[in-house]
Amino acid sequence: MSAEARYTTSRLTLWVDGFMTRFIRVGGVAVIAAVFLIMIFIAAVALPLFRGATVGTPVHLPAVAGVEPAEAPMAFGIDEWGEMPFLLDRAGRLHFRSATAPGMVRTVDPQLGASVTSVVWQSYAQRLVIGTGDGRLVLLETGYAPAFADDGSRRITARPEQVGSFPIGQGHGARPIISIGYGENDQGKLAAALLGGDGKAPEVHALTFTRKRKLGGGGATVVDQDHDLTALVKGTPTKVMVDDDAESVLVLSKEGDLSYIFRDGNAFTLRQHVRPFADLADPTISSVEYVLGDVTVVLGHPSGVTRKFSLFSRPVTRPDGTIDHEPRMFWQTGEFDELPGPATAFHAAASNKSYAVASGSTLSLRHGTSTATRWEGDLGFPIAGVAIGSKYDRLVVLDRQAGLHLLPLHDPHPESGLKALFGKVWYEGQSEPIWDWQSTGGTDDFEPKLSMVPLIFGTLKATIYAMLIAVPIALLAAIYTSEFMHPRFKGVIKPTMEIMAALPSVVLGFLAALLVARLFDDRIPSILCALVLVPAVAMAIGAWWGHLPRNLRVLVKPGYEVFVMLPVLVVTVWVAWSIGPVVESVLFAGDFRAWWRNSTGLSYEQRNSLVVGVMMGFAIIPIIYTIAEDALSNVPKALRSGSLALGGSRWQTAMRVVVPTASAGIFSALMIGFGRAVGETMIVVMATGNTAIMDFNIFNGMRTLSANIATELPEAPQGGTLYRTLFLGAIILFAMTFLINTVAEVMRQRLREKYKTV
Amino acid sequence: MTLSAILRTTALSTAAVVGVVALEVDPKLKSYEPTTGITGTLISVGSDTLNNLMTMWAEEFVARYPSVRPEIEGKGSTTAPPALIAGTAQFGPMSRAMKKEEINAFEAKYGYKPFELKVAIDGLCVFVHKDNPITELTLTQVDSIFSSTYKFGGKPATSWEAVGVSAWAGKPMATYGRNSASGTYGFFKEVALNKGDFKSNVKEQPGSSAVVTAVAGDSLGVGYSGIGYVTSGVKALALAPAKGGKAVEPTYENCLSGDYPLARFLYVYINKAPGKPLDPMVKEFVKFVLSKDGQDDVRKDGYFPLTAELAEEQLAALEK
Repeated sequence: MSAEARYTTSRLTLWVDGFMTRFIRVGGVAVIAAVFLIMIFIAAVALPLFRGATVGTPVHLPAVAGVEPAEAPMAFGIDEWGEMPFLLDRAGRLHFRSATAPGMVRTVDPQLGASVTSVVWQSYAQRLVIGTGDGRLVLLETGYAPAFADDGSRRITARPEQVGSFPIGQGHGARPIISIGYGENDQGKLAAALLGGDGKAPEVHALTFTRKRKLGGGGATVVDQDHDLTALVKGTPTKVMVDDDAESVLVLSKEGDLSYIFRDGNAFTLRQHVRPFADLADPTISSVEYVLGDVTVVLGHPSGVTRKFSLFSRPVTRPDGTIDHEPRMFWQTGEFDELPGPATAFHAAASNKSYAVASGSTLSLRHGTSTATRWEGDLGFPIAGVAIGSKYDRLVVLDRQAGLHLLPLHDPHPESGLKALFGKVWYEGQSEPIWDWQSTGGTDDFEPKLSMVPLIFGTLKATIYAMLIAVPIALLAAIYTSEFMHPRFKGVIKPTMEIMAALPSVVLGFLAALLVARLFDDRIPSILCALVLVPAVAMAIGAWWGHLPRNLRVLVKPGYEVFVMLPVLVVTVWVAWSIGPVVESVLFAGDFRAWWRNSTGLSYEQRNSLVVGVMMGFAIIPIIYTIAEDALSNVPKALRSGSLALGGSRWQTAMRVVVPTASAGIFSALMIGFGRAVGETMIVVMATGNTAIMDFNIFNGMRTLSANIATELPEAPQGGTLYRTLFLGAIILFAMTFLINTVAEVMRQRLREKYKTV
Repeated sequence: MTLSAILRTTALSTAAVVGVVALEVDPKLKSYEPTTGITGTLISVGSDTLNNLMTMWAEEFVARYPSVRPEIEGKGSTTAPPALIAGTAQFGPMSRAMKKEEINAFEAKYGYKPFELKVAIDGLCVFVHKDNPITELTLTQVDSIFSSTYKFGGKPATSWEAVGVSAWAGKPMATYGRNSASGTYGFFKEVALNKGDFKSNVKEQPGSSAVVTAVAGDSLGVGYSGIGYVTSGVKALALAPAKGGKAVEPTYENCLSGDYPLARFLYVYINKAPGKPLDPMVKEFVKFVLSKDGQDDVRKDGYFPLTAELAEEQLAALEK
């Protein structure tokens, strides 16, 4: 082998070197790309939350013989599959149309025995509530049902059935019912009718029902009592409505008043008179309808102003300062976009809080909770009626010629939108707009509350309490072990701390929930004493140590001082633990929980931020400690020696030379700890009550973004609003850590720049 | 038909049988007769309330058919519909009836509605720590404790004296509930809160047993869960209806008669195409659940068994 060859690098080495350079570069870029792809994927899932509704091209079913405009349909609707719309004419006949065959019509006469003078289509129950010209309430079920052929194909059939016929207010002879309302639930049924005609003053009547028990079969419903409510109504009644819970009658007057009549068994009391447009020059109301759940009414004014009023219990401050709650009444909770004119048609969806409203030829789809307009368009013809398919996938519009227009509707996330996710929303039953998270309910008329704000707040709250506990301990421990402690102990302590970091957080969460939470709950004054006494005693020892005579201090080798301190601290903890109950009885009237609640007005929970802070602090202490300790140890020995040689004390050297030099590393340690705390999931899931509250009280819990995703993702139907909202939470979490890390990196670079010279 | 309506009617017709001798399985129920050739994987995803029960049923079913492999997962009723729709489970146990929205999603995929089976009766309990002196509450008070909407017309209650425990003046309440995936959460919200909303400080626990454990470990606690989970560390309260009436204990008779306000059915949903025979394993499991043996497990697990009439009704519907 020649001398030259010995000194030239082998081709293989060069090749491997070149390959590895490229390989690592590709790997690095791939990691960055993967992270971005994940982010793009999550964002793509969350994005549809911010889209409005889309309405497709209409299918027109022109009017056919037999359903002439002359006998203008009184009501119309559609089956839940959207295949067979119907029209009800004044004679009480039902005309079933086919969505696919515009010419086809099947007419069924349910033999009502009188003309139809008023009708309400309750699509959620597939029920027509009819008021007749001879003063009867007729309940007619459309009887839509799917029939399956042997090959699995489906056909929709309709067998309308009259399920009840009850005379109302016929004490002085039959009068036509010009407005009707009906509601039923498990407990009972209630009907209300406005009797008009023959130039006499209109009367409002209510009919209560009871369900009789029968042996061996379903109980039949019988009329209990007829009540004349006319005297309770303010103004000239023009419309009556009954809520789905059968517990109230709402009467609209010509003058613009709403009378809210509450029913308790067989007793009717007027609970409220309200004039919703009292502030406008003309207070009359042009339309009033319930949205799903019958807790909110949407009121239209002839000018096009639209407002929502909801039932809630308003807190009132008594003269003596205490807060009392009024009975539930209707108060304004929002205002919708203005319509071009009075509402001519209205229909509330049967599966969410949306409603469709028409004015002239304008059709608008709005959401009752967020008050957002989901879609609005001009159909080019005057709209006589509108209905939303009960699956919220179709709009049916009736024109003046009794023709039907079927419009496909695509609005998968009506309850979403920027305002619903981040703004304060006035939910039903609440006395003010709030940020709230309650994503799921057991019924269809449940109003999802999907605010991200309490979750972001909870994430920050948990992080801050954890940092408050972890940062002082971890940083001081790092400084102590690297600067003051004898190096031989460092070899034991550092690996121990690192093992601590290896503890799975689910174990910590389990301990927190079953052990720590109860321990803290039982001995909270002891814990508070310890939190005060231990640092105080530690500092006192430090001060006292410095004043000890030199000949005593030299007995303890430098770096071994901790062995003087530890026994004292152990005794302090024991003392704090024992005096806790005494402190509780002296300072906190014997019961800290009651004392805290009564003196601060804040709540006290067993699963609180203190528990989370301690346990999460426990999880992040090792991380902060290890990185900070590394940074401190990496400060060149020469700097320390220089400082000490110039007469600086150990403390001065540590605080003025070592810590500033290592500040970039310490800062990184804090930020990595912070990032870990923000994303921590299991400890929070298990140790808190996951309560989505918005206050900083240390003695109650929180709901964090990550805990929220962990608990709710299994229940979220893929592609649904909740599913996408959880992904939005993930994006926010991602953005939070991204922001923190960016800020941290910038700060770190600047610190490094500043101390580069040393 | 609603639960209380069905219960009322069946209660009267079977009162002679079950009304007197509580917690005996209806002797008219048929015993299960095993067949042969049943094999496959039995996957159930859904209710936590029914989790123990599903596991018991599956174990006994496997004892009869050793080649059946069971997989039971119970995180909450709301997890059942997505699993049924995706086809990852044959059984979807739920502690509340399916919502229209969930049925719609199922129907959108399969063209027909999911098949509902009532498998047991539960009296949802409101319970407190065993040392709490309280013995009964009205639904209005329950609403005042748990809700922020007070739809029964009550006033907010955050301390024990507000619901009549004068011995505990000034002591705050600590409320525990289920996570929102739970059917118990949904049912409680619908019936006990009259469709109102929970207070935001009701601590959500991931399972029924977690609620019971939490209340047993918190002297100021109050929570709710299915009766099958109640332990000696907690005390189930008698409940009175919101509209007035006597407070009644959550017993079998009171649940059957509809007097106990929080009585409910527990369901299992399956995917049954109309007019087509069911998978033999699924069918046999359903028959087992509705048999005397299956209903005896219900009793052992602390819930209330179905009456023979209810079981027959459902088996008949299955044949359609």
